[in-house]
Amino acid sequence: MAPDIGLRIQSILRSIREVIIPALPQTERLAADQAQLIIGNLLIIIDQHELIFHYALTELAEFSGLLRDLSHEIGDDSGEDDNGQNDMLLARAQSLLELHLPAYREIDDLVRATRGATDRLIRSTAEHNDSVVRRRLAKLLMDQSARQIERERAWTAASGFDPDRNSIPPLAHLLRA
Amino acid sequence: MLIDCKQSPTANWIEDVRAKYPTERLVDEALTRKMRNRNTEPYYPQNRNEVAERLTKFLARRLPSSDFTISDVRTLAGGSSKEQFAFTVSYGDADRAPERYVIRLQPGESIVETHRLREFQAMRAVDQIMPVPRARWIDSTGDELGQPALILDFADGVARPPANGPFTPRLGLGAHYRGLLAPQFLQHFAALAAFDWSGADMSAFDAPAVGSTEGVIAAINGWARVWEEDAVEEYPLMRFAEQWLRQSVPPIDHVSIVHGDFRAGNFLFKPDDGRITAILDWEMAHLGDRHEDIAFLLNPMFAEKSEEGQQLAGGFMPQAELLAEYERLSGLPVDPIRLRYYQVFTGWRSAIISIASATRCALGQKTHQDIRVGWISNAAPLWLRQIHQGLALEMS
Repeated sequence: MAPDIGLRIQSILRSIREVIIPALPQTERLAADQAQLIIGNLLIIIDQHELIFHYALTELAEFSGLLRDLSHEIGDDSGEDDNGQNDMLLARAQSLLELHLPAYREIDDLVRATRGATDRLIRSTAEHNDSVVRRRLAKLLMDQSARQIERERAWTAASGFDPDRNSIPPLAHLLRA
Repeated sequence: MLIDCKQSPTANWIEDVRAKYPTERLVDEALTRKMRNRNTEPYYPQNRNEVAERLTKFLARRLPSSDFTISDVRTLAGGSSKEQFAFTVSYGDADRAPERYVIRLQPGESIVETHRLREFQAMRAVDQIMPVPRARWIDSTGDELGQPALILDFADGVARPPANGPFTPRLGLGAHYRGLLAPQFLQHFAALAAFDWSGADMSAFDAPAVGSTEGVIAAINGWARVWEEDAVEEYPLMRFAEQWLRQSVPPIDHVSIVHGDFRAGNFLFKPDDGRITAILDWEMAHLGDRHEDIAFLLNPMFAEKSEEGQQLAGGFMPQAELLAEYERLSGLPVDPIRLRYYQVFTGWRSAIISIASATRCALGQKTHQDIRVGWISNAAPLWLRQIHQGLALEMS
């Protein structure tokens, strides 16, 4: 995924700091103030964006733990008839918390490594003597590339470059559940 | 964000890549300069006072009298690659009217790393056959102007019809301007292919011989080298496409000046009468096969729909009509096999720019507008799609 979200935000920050703010007239205090707030918000997003799922899971662990402990402490004396709603919530939370969620960096590093390994393999097949094997390799590559390109079209559709935007499936349909 | 070894390349790494991908002399010079400067500080836009000060010294060595002043220095918008300022030179001699110029400065790195001397010579070569701003002066090393730079006559006009609303990559020429612009565009486009450049100073270019493939191989090497130097991650389809391009090179049948980016958006026109006043952006110009320019123009990204819903190649006219008119005006055939080859070539070349170089120069904060070069990366899937469709056709 190039450029990644962090790089896009870095470029936005440069533009605001080095081009937009210096060009604002001194009298435009509100615009200058809003520009600084944009910078502040973007700096927060840079810190947050790779960790959003981990943050949500941490909160889920905290609040489901608290709900479980409180329910246990109070027992049947709560007076609240939840019809088992709390138990269902806790069970759903537990199933998510048992999943291993890798760090974004870990996934990204592995994607890069597998891309690199695939590239080296393609280089080595250029000299392959067996034309049948070469054709089969080419088909595998072309099939995967078609899916990759469709996903990238969906990922960048909002830019407006693609004149055939209506033919692109929604991004969520093209990603792993 | 990724920081890899290419961000601080060793001298050996640079030399290894140079040796692996032999290409044209001045292409090599420009790319080597880029790599030797890579591990330096971020690039900051020059301020207008600095630009005026450097220009004053530069022009004092070139104008007949030092009795002149520089004023009204303005940053120009548009263009993804070079930093541009317009400025006025006023002369002490009251009989001489003030003159308006544009300086095109090379930032730390660009989405296309090119040589100012090639741009200068290409513009000089063609300005007798089509409207091109006169290239006046050059500082190809940057010793005097801070960065390598060209100084051109200022050309009046707009690059897209005036419009309100949010930014969109679509030019939206509309029926009125399309009717005015299409015939002129085609005339210039065809004239470039047919132009006999042999009388011009093109010493910055390595001319390929008719019937040979060396020029195309040198161009493939040049772009493959850019991929090697700039890509932040591998893309197997790109490698596969490179292999196919090397195996399938058609011999060149006629050597033309190829603009490299000849399309709507890269010329100026008068909004009142639609007259094209300047064909711009000659930095990718080279001597090669006209089919490269045609194939580039035919990418669906530049297409527009007519008011009746018909697909218009380049935003101008249906593809078959455009190609027929091109053949008539240039007197040169459009060979469908070469055209298909160059559709893969231009898709691959443009994907290198939008995937690798755009990301790399934003990563190093090497331009005056990282946000724009990063934006260009959003076009990458369209170029990849062009490669894929071309290869699929060849494999079927």
